[in-house]
Amino acid sequence: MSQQTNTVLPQGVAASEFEAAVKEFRALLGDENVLVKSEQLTPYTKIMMPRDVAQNTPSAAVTATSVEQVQGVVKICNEYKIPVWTISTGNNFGYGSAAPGQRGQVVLDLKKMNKILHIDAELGTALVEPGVTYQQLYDYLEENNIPLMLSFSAPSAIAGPLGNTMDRGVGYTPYGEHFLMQCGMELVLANGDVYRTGMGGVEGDNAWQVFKWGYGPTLDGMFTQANYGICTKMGFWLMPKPPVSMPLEIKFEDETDIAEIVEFIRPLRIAQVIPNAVVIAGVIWEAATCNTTRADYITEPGATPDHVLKQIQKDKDLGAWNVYACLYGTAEQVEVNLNIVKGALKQLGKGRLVTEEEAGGTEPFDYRAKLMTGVPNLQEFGLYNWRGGGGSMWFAPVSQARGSECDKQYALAKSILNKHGLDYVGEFIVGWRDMHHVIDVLYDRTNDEERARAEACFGELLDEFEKRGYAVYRVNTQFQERVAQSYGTTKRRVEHAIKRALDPNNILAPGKSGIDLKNDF
Amino acid sequence: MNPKRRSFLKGALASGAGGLVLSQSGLAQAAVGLNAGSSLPTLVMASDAAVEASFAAGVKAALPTGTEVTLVRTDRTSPLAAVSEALQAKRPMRLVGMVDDATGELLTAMARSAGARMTWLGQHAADARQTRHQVISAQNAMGSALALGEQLQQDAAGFRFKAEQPFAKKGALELSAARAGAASGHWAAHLGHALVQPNAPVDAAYLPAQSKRLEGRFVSFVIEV
Repeated sequence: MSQQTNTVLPQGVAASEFEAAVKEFRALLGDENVLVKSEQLTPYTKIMMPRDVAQNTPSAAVTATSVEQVQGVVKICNEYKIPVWTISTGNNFGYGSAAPGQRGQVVLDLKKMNKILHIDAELGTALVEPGVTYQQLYDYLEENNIPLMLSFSAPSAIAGPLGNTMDRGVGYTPYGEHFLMQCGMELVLANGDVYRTGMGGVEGDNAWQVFKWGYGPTLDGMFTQANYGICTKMGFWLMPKPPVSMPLEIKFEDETDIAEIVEFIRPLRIAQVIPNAVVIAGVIWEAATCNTTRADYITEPGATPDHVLKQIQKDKDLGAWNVYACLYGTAEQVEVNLNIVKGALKQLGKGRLVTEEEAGGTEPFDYRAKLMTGVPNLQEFGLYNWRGGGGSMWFAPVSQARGSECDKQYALAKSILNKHGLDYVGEFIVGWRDMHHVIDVLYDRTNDEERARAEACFGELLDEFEKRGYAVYRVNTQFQERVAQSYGTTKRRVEHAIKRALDPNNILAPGKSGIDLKNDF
Repeated sequence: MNPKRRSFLKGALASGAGGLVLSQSGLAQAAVGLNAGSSLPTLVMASDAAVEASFAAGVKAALPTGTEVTLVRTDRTSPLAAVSEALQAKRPMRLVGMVDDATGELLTAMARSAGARMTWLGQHAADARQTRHQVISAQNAMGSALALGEQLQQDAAGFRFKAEQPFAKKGALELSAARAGAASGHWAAHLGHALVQPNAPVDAAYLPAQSKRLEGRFVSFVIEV
């Protein structure tokens, strides 16, 4: 039997009570599914936020293999008032990874619930458990010759659809707004009840994965980025694989081009001429994902000077902004849409179009093409080698898809980052009418002074963007309480009222998105 | 325990560095807990030639003769397939490496997903005149942290060293020195050695040449299956 070799306890729980709870976890799950040794828990402590690891260290991690076991875990947690932080694949890099939001929380790791429960090739639907990865799903589709295409975030191979969608992540295909494509959830509530959204509560129903709304209030969204239930199954829609996919890149020379680029893209995107979540990537993002590191060019600390960035741009044949889009359909449809894009580009009078053939399998075009055509890969991890040192925080404000907005956000973000000696490593992901402005705040965690700067920088980004009416759509666990404040007190009161009603013992992921009954709401 | 180690420990304790509380017998236990000197089949990963010449050389020097060793240079071959195979194989194995940040993130995630034990996770930065180290070690690998700290004390370059103990009630062990000497790759060789044999001195023959510099950002780890 594994002996606890760590001294971490859930907040407010006595050692004897915790020991009793661990004993019950073992009886329920088996010894091998209850991890309490420090060497078993170390992989759960790998964080990229600036705070000390100790603040996000779990007291234990437990793995469940069935809905009944999840119900059992919740029952034990209620009995002993133990907070439990649920992860699916735990690969939410830069947002908190697999570490719990607060020290001492027990991680409920659902990686072993990894069954692809159903794929309907005709209707283009899937139903999966939390531990299913995109790679697993991709392999399944390939092995079974099912002509459906996945949409995923960049750490695609090892991340999973359920976790990504529950955190409202985005991808790069026409189905890139993942929550929009979600259809049906199964959740274990804090009282142990199993709740199915949409049509899932109707006995004998077979429309759970095709009709989202069911009858009466539709609550799916309430469970995303939240701590009201543990999602144990999720349905979602898959795009039929088109006969032709044509990934394209358009390179723009100057950083001041961003406003014009957005004005050029928006009408094409809204009209679905370009149907996928287009990306407009900055030069460092591009450089890092074609295996360039900052140290290749400069060793002085601080923000990378513009003349160095220009040199990198030249050496690697990159744009200051690099637009990635993809056209899908029959050869005829793609040709028509390509001509429309070319026409708009000609009218714009700038931008260099690059086709897949012209790119010739080089990075970063290759991994971008894969992301837009549903082929998992891990190339974007190159971002972590740009500066190195293990620090990464995603700053992701949203805005209207207008050139003026993007111009303003870009200038503001770059000035704040550079002021703190850090680089603007960003991209815009064009939604139907919005922009997800995604910036990776990269820094060296081995350098305490740089950690402090990164922390201050992130705080200033939040503050200054908020002053101008912007807020982020998602954030790492260190800043979740701060970001919740941006959205106003009324929203927080409602969220806490729901929490009190559904989880009066505050056992499900307290602190998630700033929702914690210890807060004064 | 060798005299140098004893002296280092005394110094660390006397300076009040962190909450280091590890007795002589504790250090010996640490070595035992880490499968020290065991001939477990070992997969060694090195991010480039310099890491191979320092870190991987230290690892190899510490392994008992006859140990099955496989080296993967991650700048030449992706280690993911080899690591995946090792994690899935149902036989005891040790994975030791010093790799770039991207690979380190991936391997940590893979270890967690496979339910493997991770006794050591370090983040290292080596510049021309300073090295920085932040490590998390399982309690039975604290001896490796001490060995690294000891070596850094002897280096010509300045350094900062922080061994977080997130699972203990104690604070982190923090050491530092401001020196202007050139950084060498010795610390990496000692680290490699200490991750396998935390309580034994490095054979000088395995140290990299004095002129060889090791610069960059690295993740070190020990995973046991």
